[in-house]
Amino acid sequence: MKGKKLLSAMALLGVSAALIAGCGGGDKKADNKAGAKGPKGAAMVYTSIYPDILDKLCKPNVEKAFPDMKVTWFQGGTEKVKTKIAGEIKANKIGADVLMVADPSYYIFLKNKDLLLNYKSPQMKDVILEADKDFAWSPVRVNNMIIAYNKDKIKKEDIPTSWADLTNPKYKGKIAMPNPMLSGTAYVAVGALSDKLGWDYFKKLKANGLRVEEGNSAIQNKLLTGEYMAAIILEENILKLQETKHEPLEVCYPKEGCIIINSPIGIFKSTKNPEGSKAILDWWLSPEGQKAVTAGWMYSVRKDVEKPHGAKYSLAELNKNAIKINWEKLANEDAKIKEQFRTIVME
Amino acid sequence: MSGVKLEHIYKRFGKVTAVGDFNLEVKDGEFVSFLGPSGCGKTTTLRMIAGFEKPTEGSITIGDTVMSDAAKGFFMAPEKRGVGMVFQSYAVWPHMNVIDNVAYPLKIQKVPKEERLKRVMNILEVVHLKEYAERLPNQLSGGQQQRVALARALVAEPGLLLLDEPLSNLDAKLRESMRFEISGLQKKLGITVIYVTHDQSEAMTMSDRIVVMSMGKVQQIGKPVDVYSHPANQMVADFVGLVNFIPSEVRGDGKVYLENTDISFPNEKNLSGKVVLAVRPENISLHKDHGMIEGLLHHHFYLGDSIDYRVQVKGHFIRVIVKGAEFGKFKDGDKVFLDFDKVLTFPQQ
Amino acid sequence: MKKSLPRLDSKFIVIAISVLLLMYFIVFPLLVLIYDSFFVNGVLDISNYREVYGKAVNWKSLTNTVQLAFIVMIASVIVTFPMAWLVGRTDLPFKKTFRTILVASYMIPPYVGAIAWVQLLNPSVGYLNNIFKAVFGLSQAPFNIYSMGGLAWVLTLFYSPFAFITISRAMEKMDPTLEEAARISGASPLRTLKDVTLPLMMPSIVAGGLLVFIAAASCFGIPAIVGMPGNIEVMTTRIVTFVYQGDSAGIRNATALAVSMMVIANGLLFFMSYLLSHKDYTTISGKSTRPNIVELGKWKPLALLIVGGYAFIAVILPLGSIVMTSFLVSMSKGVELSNFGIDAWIPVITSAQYMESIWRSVVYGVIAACIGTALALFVAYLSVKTKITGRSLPDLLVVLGGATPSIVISLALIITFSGNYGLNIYSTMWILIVSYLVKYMTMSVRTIAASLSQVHSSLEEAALNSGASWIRTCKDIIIPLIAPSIVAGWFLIFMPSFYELTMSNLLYGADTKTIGVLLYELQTYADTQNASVLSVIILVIVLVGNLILNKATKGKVSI
Repeated sequence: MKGKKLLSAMALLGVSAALIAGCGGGDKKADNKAGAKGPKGAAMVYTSIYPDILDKLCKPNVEKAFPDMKVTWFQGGTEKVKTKIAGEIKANKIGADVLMVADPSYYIFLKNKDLLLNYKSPQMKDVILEADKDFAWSPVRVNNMIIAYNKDKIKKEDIPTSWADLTNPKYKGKIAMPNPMLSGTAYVAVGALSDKLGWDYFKKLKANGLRVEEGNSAIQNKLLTGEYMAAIILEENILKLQETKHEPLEVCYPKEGCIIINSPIGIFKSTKNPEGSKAILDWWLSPEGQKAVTAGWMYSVRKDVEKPHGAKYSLAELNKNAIKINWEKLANEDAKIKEQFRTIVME
Repeated sequence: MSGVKLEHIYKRFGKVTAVGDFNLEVKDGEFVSFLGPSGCGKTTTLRMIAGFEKPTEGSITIGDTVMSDAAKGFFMAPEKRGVGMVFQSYAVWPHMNVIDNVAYPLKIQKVPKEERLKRVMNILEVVHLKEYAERLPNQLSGGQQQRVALARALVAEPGLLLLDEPLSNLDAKLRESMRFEISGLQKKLGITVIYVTHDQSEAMTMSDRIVVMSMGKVQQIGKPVDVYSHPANQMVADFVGLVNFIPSEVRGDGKVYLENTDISFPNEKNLSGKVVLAVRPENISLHKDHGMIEGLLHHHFYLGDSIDYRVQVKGHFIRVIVKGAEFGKFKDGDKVFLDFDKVLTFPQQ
Repeated sequence: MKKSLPRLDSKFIVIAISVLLLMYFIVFPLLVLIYDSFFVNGVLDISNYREVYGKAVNWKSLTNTVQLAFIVMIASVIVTFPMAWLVGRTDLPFKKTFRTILVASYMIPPYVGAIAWVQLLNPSVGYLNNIFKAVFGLSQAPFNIYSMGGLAWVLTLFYSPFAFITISRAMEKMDPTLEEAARISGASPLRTLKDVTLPLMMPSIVAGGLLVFIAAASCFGIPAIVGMPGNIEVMTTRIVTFVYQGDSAGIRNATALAVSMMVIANGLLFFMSYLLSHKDYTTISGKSTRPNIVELGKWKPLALLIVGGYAFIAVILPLGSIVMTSFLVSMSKGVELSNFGIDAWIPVITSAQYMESIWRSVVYGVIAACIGTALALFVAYLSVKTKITGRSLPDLLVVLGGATPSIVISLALIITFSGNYGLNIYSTMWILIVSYLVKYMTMSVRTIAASLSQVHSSLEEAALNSGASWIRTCKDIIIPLIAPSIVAGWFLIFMPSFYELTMSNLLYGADTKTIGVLLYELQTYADTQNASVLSVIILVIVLVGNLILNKATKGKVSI
């Protein structure tokens, strides 16, 4: 009897023991003595690149390029990665060596906190976009915010041609954009458009029944079903649907210019493997890494890599007429801009 | 005040017949018990009278009102039957105090508050619970809860009171005193009572008539004394009171003989072939040196007012109860002689 | 526990260990976060509280949340109670099927279901709206899903199973003679319901309602999908907004907001348990009760119509929409034969990655559900069955987790369990399991506590008296008696853990990718159709699992 009681108590202790035994998983394997040149050790990359691209093009190619290094990947949406890192900063344990997410202003934030390692990649000579002046981050891919519509569900004369078109009453209640509070690229779009067209533009959009959606995917679905006539969305979502599913979605490159977001890549100062991290950054900026970018229907930052399949213009062409974005302002006035948007559109 | 009439009542659950062809007329003010082993259909019958079960066939009339008639598809809901019922588990509502529990039927009848309270206190006085009026059920003993249930069943002065093994969860002493309280109350209020029990002494002491049931069938309906002394069949004889069954046979001369003996009894029912002879332990007398049958005293129990003997006769044990017997007159192992009185015979089943 | 030192028997050892585990893994991380929201480097700083509570929008979201959760709670109870009664206590045909259907909406990941409802009821091209417009010749869509009402509607459909499970379990356990006593006293069935059934069921109704309230208030997916396009902000969307700022100020603001939700949920729980403290009816007695099945008679077709109608609207319709979506070739074409195909299924069922993740999620879900149910049992026992001072504290603290938005929980776990406080389980499967426990244990504790409070202590004492140890008594007497609730409690942890997405997405490591993470990827990067495919697979797995369980235990155990 006594034994039984003890046994059952032990069983519970066992659970806790198992829990404790399960710890330490965050460690990285760091013994790789092979004499071959190239980076060694281990490295962790946090990225928001699309998971299918990651699995098909990045993981195998990186493994091939650096056989002596163990690279692990954490993939998640930009905002989720930012949240994860925020927790890690608080715990003083940044798990990532290399960071590659969509929101450029976030890198300014990290740089201001002195968390990024300055590194100028030799690949930069072929990159047509500018990096940070201290090379705390370098551009690695370009997302393009545009207007999309469903050609099967819209009359020819109703096809939008400019940002300003969206204020036309014929779209009333049938226009949408992703929520800038929840999506970094949408936030950039708000910053860019409010600078270019003034906050008045958003007042007009609101008056025209602009709906704010959680993210790009909700919008693309509702364009498909015809719930929305036109919406502000990332070009890559539309190109992907055109190509993989032959959906009748089309891109409008607005007259006032697209919103070009040069998403960066950077290395955390806390990395224990700076050489390996630099090698990964170099790989991303290399033609091979950039092909992974364009395979995700995003634009490459290199002049020698083709534009994504289905895109109408090259990055250089788009850039000529792009809306100018004040990155410093976006980084420093985050709360103010979001609040302004919220009061104008979401109340 | 209301009598009850059950005509050709059947209750089937799927293929199982729980009650088959039940016929009974309970007179106004009569106390009738349904007696039988568990699973005999007595509770089902009671629940059909209450309206919790719908008879598959037959009709039930309470007073002058037809409550249920399967042929006409007529069925009156339990709340409209105006009968009182006490449940085996008491079913005292735990969220109401004693007054609220007892007052509930009056509240439903919209009896004005003052009168309601007066009547509740009256009935609580009758069941000796007046000083517990404000208590919650979980502050009461089993016996007290039982009386709350009784008070609640009686407060609306129903013509018919149904009791479903109300005493089975009480201790022996309380059970006995409650027996007298219930039958006293019934006489005082003059209501009709149908009482379900598996305890034959409860049925014997309280009832005007007993309905003995087994396997869903009525075995016998009669006054306690008739059921006891003239049981309709072996089952009734066995269930009501104590009895010895002795295998016997009818021989060529038409008399009933104990098996393998020459001891014979008159064959009043004109049976033939193998029969069973039944004799109650108190109808056997025990003698030292003479008697009908010879046997060996195997062992005995002293019960104070009587002695309970087991006598071995030709491989059978026969139970003999002698009232006021002299202790020590017979010893275990003694040779004894038995005389049978009031012998019953039944065909072998 | 200081005064009247209890005997150090197995009972108290087990309970003490459970409470310690609970405190360390579930309560402590949240307390760390709350502490951080008040103190910066050890100095009290409540500027974040001033900031968030100084803004009208946050108050508006708070009132929206409370209003919404309250409506959803009331609606769920009102809808669920008659369903539970019809399914549990009457001769309604197809009862078993209905029972499964009525809890099935709990098995659909809420965001997938929300998308289905948006497809059905959006004002411009919603299928149902179009049908109504065509049938009644309306010029405008009769329903707008992007409204408070639409949000309440979807939340009610998704979270009413909490109430249904709790209420129907209790309903089946109730002694039917208590109701019969009322009938024979002259009360009509409706009056009986009001005077006897409802008051006796109150603890379970409240427990179920509270679960619904907490779930509705702390849900992010549905308000994000349904509320946002209608400009309806709730606490969770505000909190996530702050969290997504990605800096420590954002986290402190988010926590400051989250604290009010914890306070409301706990306050409500405290208030309810105070209200019910004198109404603790032990209704499972030592005497066996037979199930009393009410014959519906002429009402049968009507009852069938009501239950069937509800099941159709709440479950079949959105499910059908999800299944149909998964078989559409193009979302932009209509529902026509040429547009059907298995295009969306191919990438999902041919990828090894999905099957691996499904298996992993099953394993994590089972572990979380087993640990959670065991802890819940002991915590519920402590709070319901013992007289120790502070016995209900662990029970209350568990609610902290349930009332906290998932994203805040994951943050708390990252901060607490990456080595700073002695334990580093970051990036392992255990941090996922802990996160599921933090979020979903409330559901289990409430369910088990509600049914434990209905077990008379004499049954337990009888076993102890027979010489059984307390653990043995748990195993032989208590657990079998409340087995249905334990199964329900287990499922209440397992199901949401199985497809959990928000926390998994932040906490998964290189080798611990779960099905929820994949669903999130599909939902954000691929399209609704693939997500629908995965939901259909999940649903089939759960339904088949339930069927096997049901058959294996001869109908005794099922959800």
